[in-house]
Amino acid sequence: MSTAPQYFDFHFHPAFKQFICQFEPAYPSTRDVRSLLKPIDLKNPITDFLEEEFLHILESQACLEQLSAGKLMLGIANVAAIERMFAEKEGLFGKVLNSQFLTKPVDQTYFSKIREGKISYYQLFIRELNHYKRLRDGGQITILSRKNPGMLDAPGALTHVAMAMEGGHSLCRTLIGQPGKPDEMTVSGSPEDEPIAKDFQDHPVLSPALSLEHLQTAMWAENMDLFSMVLTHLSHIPEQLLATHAYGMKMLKDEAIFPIGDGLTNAGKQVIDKAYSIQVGGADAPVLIDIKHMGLKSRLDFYAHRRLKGHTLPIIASHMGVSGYSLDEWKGALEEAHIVRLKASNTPVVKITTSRRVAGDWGATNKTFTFNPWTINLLDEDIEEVLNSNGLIGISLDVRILGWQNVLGKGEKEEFMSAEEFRFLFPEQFKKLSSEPMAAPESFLLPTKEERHPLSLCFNLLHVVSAGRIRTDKDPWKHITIGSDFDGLINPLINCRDASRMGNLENLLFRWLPVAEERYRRENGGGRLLKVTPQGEVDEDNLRRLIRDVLYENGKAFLTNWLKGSPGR
Amino acid sequence: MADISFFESARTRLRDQAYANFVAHRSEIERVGYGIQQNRSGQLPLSHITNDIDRLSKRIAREGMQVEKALERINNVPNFQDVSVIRKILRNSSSVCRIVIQTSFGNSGYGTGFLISPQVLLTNHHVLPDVETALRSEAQFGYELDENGHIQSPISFRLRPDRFFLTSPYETHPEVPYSGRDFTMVAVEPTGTEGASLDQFGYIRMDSSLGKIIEGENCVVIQHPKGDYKKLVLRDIRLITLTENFLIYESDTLPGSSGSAVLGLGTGVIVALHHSSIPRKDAAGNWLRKDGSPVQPDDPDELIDWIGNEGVRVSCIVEAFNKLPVPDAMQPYRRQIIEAQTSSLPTMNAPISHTAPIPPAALPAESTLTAHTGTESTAGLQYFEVVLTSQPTLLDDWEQKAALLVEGLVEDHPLIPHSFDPYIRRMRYVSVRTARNPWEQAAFMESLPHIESCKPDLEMLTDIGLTDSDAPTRQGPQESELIYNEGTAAWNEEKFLKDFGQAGWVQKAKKVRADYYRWWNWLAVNCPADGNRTGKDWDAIRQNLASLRFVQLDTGYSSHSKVFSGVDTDKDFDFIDSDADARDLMDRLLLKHPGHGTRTGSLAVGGTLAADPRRLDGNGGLLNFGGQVPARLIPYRISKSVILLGRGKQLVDAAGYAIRSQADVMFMCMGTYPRAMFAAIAREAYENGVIWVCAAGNEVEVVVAPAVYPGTIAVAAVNPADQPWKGSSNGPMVDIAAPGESVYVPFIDKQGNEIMVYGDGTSYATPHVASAAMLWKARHLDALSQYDFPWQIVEAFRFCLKQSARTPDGWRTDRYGAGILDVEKLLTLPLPKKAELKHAYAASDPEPSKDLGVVEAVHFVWNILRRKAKRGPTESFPASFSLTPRGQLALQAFTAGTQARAYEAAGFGDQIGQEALLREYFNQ
Repeated sequence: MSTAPQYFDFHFHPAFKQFICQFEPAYPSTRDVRSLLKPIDLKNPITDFLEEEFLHILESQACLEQLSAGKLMLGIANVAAIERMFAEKEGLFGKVLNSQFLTKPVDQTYFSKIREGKISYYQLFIRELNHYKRLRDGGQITILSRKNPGMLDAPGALTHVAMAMEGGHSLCRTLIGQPGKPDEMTVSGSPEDEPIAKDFQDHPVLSPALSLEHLQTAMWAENMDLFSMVLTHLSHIPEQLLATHAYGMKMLKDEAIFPIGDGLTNAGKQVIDKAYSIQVGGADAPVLIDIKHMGLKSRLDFYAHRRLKGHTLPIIASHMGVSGYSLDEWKGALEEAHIVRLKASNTPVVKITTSRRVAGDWGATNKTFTFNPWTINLLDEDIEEVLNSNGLIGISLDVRILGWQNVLGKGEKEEFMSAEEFRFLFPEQFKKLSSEPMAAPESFLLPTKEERHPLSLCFNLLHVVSAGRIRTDKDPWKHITIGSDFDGLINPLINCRDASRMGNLENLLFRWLPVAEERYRRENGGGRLLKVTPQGEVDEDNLRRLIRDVLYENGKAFLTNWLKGSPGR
Repeated sequence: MADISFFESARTRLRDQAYANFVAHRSEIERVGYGIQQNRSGQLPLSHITNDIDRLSKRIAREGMQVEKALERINNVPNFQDVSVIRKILRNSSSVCRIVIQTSFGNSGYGTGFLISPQVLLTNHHVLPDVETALRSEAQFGYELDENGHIQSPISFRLRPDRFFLTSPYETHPEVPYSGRDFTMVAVEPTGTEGASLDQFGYIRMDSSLGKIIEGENCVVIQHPKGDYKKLVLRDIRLITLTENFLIYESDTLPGSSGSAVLGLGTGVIVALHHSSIPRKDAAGNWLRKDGSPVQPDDPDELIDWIGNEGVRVSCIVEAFNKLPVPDAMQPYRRQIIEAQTSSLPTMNAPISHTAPIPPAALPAESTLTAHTGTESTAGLQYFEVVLTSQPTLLDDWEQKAALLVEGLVEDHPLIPHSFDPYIRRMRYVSVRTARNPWEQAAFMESLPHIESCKPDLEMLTDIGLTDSDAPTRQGPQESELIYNEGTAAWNEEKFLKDFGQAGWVQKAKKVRADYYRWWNWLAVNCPADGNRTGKDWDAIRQNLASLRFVQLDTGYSSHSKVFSGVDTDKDFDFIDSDADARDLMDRLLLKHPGHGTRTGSLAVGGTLAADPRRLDGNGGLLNFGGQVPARLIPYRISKSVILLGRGKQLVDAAGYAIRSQADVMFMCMGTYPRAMFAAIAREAYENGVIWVCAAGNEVEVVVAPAVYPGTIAVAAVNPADQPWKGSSNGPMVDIAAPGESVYVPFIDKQGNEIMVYGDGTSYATPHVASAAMLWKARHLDALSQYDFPWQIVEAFRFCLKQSARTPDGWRTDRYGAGILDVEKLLTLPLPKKAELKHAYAASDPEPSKDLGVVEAVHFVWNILRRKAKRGPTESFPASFSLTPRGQLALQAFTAGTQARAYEAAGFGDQIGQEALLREYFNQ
C-alpha cells in the first residue's frame, strides 16, 4: 500500500503569526494548544482596500493545520525575533503591522514593547520558542534533538521539526537598542522547571557567543536542540553587530534596512567559533551556520574564517535564490552605482543596479525569466562552498527571491550595499561615485503573474545544479531542497501559496523542470542537468526521484545525519 | 521634436516679447536712463537713481557696514570694486558652461547654462525645451582660454533629463502654471569625459531676496556668445529696471547668449538668467539696423540695433521652482537643489585647475560668519535641534501635525535614529524653510507646547579657530615667516631646542640617540621604542590591532607622505560634503597642505617622510610598528577647516556612523561650545562602548565639547618639562594629560617641501591617548569580554588610564587629570573588576536646556566676538552681526553695559562678562 508522499521544508515559521497575536505577561506560555494550530488571518475588512498580493503576506502560510494538510512532516522551524524596524510605524507595512485596527488579531503589546525598547530580542526568541515546546508537550509536534539520535529512524505521525534561529540578534539579552540595560522576564511557577528561563534570569547579560552556548545548554535541558542559526537578519542591529546583512526588505521605511559595516565582525567570528564547538554535558552539540541574509562580504569573510580556523561542519543556505552569477560575472554586471546618504543619519550606503542574468525564455511573447541579482542571493562561489562542505541549499518559494520580470520600474530593481562592502568589491570605482540624498525608500514589489510561475523556481534549482556540476565533484541534486520561508512575511509562488499545497509543487516540478532545463541550457549552455533516456528524452523515473529528493529525501537524510552526530549530505 | 529651427524661431518671438515688455515700461526706463546718464557724468549718485527705498535699504544691508560707508561703496562700484567681489564673480564663472544642442538631424546650436546645485544646471526653456532635446545635448565646462591664451580642454557632461527636468515655457499660457518664465532645470551626469567629476565646477547660489542690485548698478554677464569661449562682459552695462518677472539692462554691442548668468557687479550675486536681447523697432514693428534701416532676413546680429537686454529674475525662477510639482522619482534632485541653494556656503568642492586660486567660500572667511547671523531675509533652509515634550498626547499630535504646526517645515527626523535613550528619542532634527532669523524661528518653535527646547544648528568655530593656536610654535622675530593661513610653516627646531633643550625628556632622549629628542613625547609617555616592542604580548597586540577600528573625526587626511600609508582610504567618508573622499579640503586643492587631521593623525600612525634630504624626519606614530600600521586610521571629515566645524549635526552623524560601524576607539582633536546634540552622541558612544578620546581645548580655558561630557576621555597637554601647556584647557573633567606642547608634527614649507615642525595644542596630546587606548584594547581584546555592558570597557580604560598615570611633583589633578599618560604601565595594569566601575552618567540627569537667549549670546560670543577680539583693533563689527533682543538681553546680563556706543552697550566690548557667560554656559 503506497502512502501519501511527505514533504520537507528547510525554512518556515509555523508558530510566528500565532505568537504575535497574543502577548502573555508571564513565561512560560499557558495558551490553549489548539489556538496555536489554526490559521491566522491578519486581514480584516479595513485592510481589504489593500492589494491582494500584499495581503497574502499577512495570511497564514504554515500553521500546523496547513502543514498537516500538505503532508509537510519534516522541517526546520525558525524563530526570528521581530526586529525594531518592524515595530516602527513608518511605511505601509509598518503602519499595517503596527495598527490595532488594520491587523486586528495582532497583539500590539509586542510591537509597542519592541518600539520602545522594553524587551530584549532574546526574550522574544525564547517566548516564541516556548510555543513550540508547548505544542510538543501538547502532543502536536515532535521536536528533534540529538539527545535522541534515532528519532527519524521510525518517524511517527506528527510533524517533526528541528529548531533554528533566524538572526543572531536573538542572542542579545539586553533591552533592544540599549546594550547597557539588562532585560527582565516575569516567570510563573518554579524557574527550576524552566531551564531556559532560569538561565536567562541567572545570566541576564552575556556576550553573543556565550549567550548561544547558554541557550543551547538550556534547550538541551528542555529536550530541545538548536539546529542552525542565521547570523544576521533583515536589519542592522548596532548594539550587537555580528555581520553586515544583505539588503532584502523594501516594505519598511526605516534606515535600519540599509546594510552598514565591513562584513563579519569580531563578535560574529566568536559566535561562529562557539556555534561550531558547543558541547553540552560533554557531548558535541554544534549549531550549523546558515548563510542566508549575510551580505556578500560577510559570506566571503565567513568562508575565509572557516578555512583559517579549520571548521568543516556543513554550511547551509536555508531559503535562498540564485543570482545566476559568479562573483566576477556579478561585478561585470554592475550597471549603476551611487552613494546615497540617508536623510536622517547621513549614513552612506551605495545604491546599485545590476543587470539580470537571463535564466530562459518561455511563452508566446517576451516571457523572459531572469534571476534576482541582489547579493542576498547565492553567487556560484556560495554554491561551491555549500556543496563542498556537504551542506544543503534550500530554494525559497518567495517570488522576489526567485527572480522577476522586466515590468518592474528602475527604483524597484535597486539594491543597497554598505559603503565599505562596495569599496571592497569595487575598489577602483568608489571614489568616483556621485552622491545623492534620499529618504528611506518604500516599494511593495508586487509580483506579476509570470513571476509567480513555477518556472522561476525550476530555473533556480537548475542553476544550482549547473554551477555545482561545473565547480564541484558533488552531485548537486543531493544538496538541494525547498526552504519555503512560509510565514516569514513572504509572497509565495503561485499554486503553492501555503504549506497545504506542497503536493502541487511536486506536480509542478515534474511538469516544468524539463521545460526549464531546455530553456536554461538554450540560454546558458552547459550539459544536460536531467538524466535522459537513450532516446534523448528526459528520464521520467529519474526525474520523479530527483523531485522526491528535493522535496523530502535530501532534507530527511541531512537531518538524520545531523541527529546522529555527523551532519552533512 | 525641438530642433535648431525651434531655437531660432523661439528667439525671434522672444525678442518681440521683450520689446513689448520694454515698451510697456518705457517711462520708467527713460527715467532710470536719464539718471544713469547723470550718474555717468558725475551729477547724480548712483544710489539716487532708484525710487524703491525698500530695495535700496536691502542693498545697503547687504554690504554689512554702516549706512554711510555702504553707500560710499555702492556709489563707487562703477569705478572701484573690491577684489573679493571680482573673485566671487570669477568663482561663479567656473560654474557656467556651454550647452551644445544636438538636433535630431545632427547639426548643433549653442546656449549657455550654469550649475545651481552639484548636479543640476539652469538654462532657458528655449535652449532646452524638452527632454528629447536635453537628451541629445551636452554641457561643456571649461571651454575657455587659460592665462596664456591657450585653449583649455573642455569637459563634456551628458544631460540627464530622466533624472530631473523642470521647465517653464517662454510663452505664457494661462493653463500652464508659472509659464512664461523661460527656464529649464536639468540634471547633469556627475562624471564627464575621461572620468572628470562635475563637482569641481561648483554651483551658483540663487538668492531670491531683494537687495542684490538696484537700478543704475552695473551688471556682469558670463556667457558663451555664439558658442565662443567663455566671456565676462565687463562693459559699463547698467540695470535699467525690474519688472514683475524680468529685469531689463543695457545692451552690449552683441546680443547675449541664451542662458547666460547675469550678476550684479556690486554684490557678485546672480540677479537674472539672460534670455533675450531687445531690438529697436520702427512704428511698423520692423526691427532696425544700427543705421536705422529695417533688418533684412539674413542680417547678422552685429548689424541690429539692440536697445537692451532682458533677463528672467532669479526670484521668479525660485518662486516657480518652489511651486511647480515634481515627480517623486525626481525629488532627490529637487532636494539637492534646495539644499544647495539654501546651504550656508556656496560650495566649491575642488579646484578648477592646478593654478586656480582658493575659492574664498571654501575658506573660513568673514563672509561665512555673515551668512549665519540670520539677518538676511532669504527664505532659506534652516536647521534646528529640537527636544520634544515627553507628554504622549502632544508627541502623537506632533507626529501627525508637525508640518501644520511649523510653517515651512521640510524635514523632521530623529536626531539619532538608532538611539533608544528615552531623552534622545525625544530629540529631533528639523529643517524649516523660512525667511526668519534662525533664533526668532527657534523662539517661535519653542513657543509650541509640543516642543521643550529648540535651538538653531549653525556652523561653529572650533576652539582652535578662536585663537589660531595649534599652529607651529611661534618663533619670535621670525614669526612673520610662518604663514598659517596658507598652511605652510618653517622648520623651528632651533627655537624648540632653545626653549626646551634642557628639559628632562629632551635630555633623556639625547642619551638614547643624538636626534631622538624629536621623539621626546615617546619617552614622556613611556612608550617602548619601536625596536623594543617585541615578545609575545606585543605580537598579540599587533595581531589584535588589525581587527580594531580606529576613527578620527577631523578635517580629513592629506597625501603627506608622513601619514598617508597609515590612513585607511577604503573606509573614509566626508560628512561635510557627503562624499566618499575625506581628503582635507586643502589637499583637494592640490596644495598638499597637511591639515589638522594629518598633523594629529601623524602622532598615531605616522611613518617616515618619503623624501628627507635635510634629515628633518622624526617622531613616528605610536601605532606604527617598523613602518607597518596594523590598525590604519579611518578619517571622517567633520570640519570644513581647522577653524570651522560645520553644522553640529554633521559631527553627530559622523560619530553615529562610527558607533554603528563598531568603532573601537574614536578621537577628536578639536572642540566647540557644548550643545545638547553633542551631549547625546557622546552618551551614545559611551553606552555602545566606543572609547572617544577628545582634546580638552586650546587657549579658551574652559574644557570644550565633546571633551566636557562624562562619557568621553578628556586630554590636557604638557611640555617636555612635564609642565602643563599654558594654553591647555583644564578642569576637573580632564582625565589625563599627554605631550602637546612642542610636539614634532608634519607640515610643508613655503616651497612645498614636506617638513616636520614643533607645534602646540591639546590636539597633539589627544592622539597619544587614543593610540594608547588602541594598544590597551588590543592587549585585552579577549579579556574585555568579561564585562557585561559596553560602557564598562570605556570605564575600564579610564580606570587603567588614571591608575597608571605618572604624576610629576606638584601635579594638579583637579585641573589636568590623574597625571601624564604612561603607556607601558597602562598595558601591564590588570583589568579592574566590574564592581570597581561606575557608570559615568550614574549620578547625572540630562542637563536642563539652556535658555534660547543665552545660547544665542554664547553662539555670538564664541563665533564672532571672540574671534573678532583677536583681530587688529581697527576692525569694526559689521552691523549684520546683530543679536535678537532676547540674545542681547542675555548678553547684557553678563556684561557691563555702561558704554554709550551701540555695540558696546550690547556687551560687545566686555570680555570679562563674555568669559562669565561662557563659564556659566559651560558649567565651569
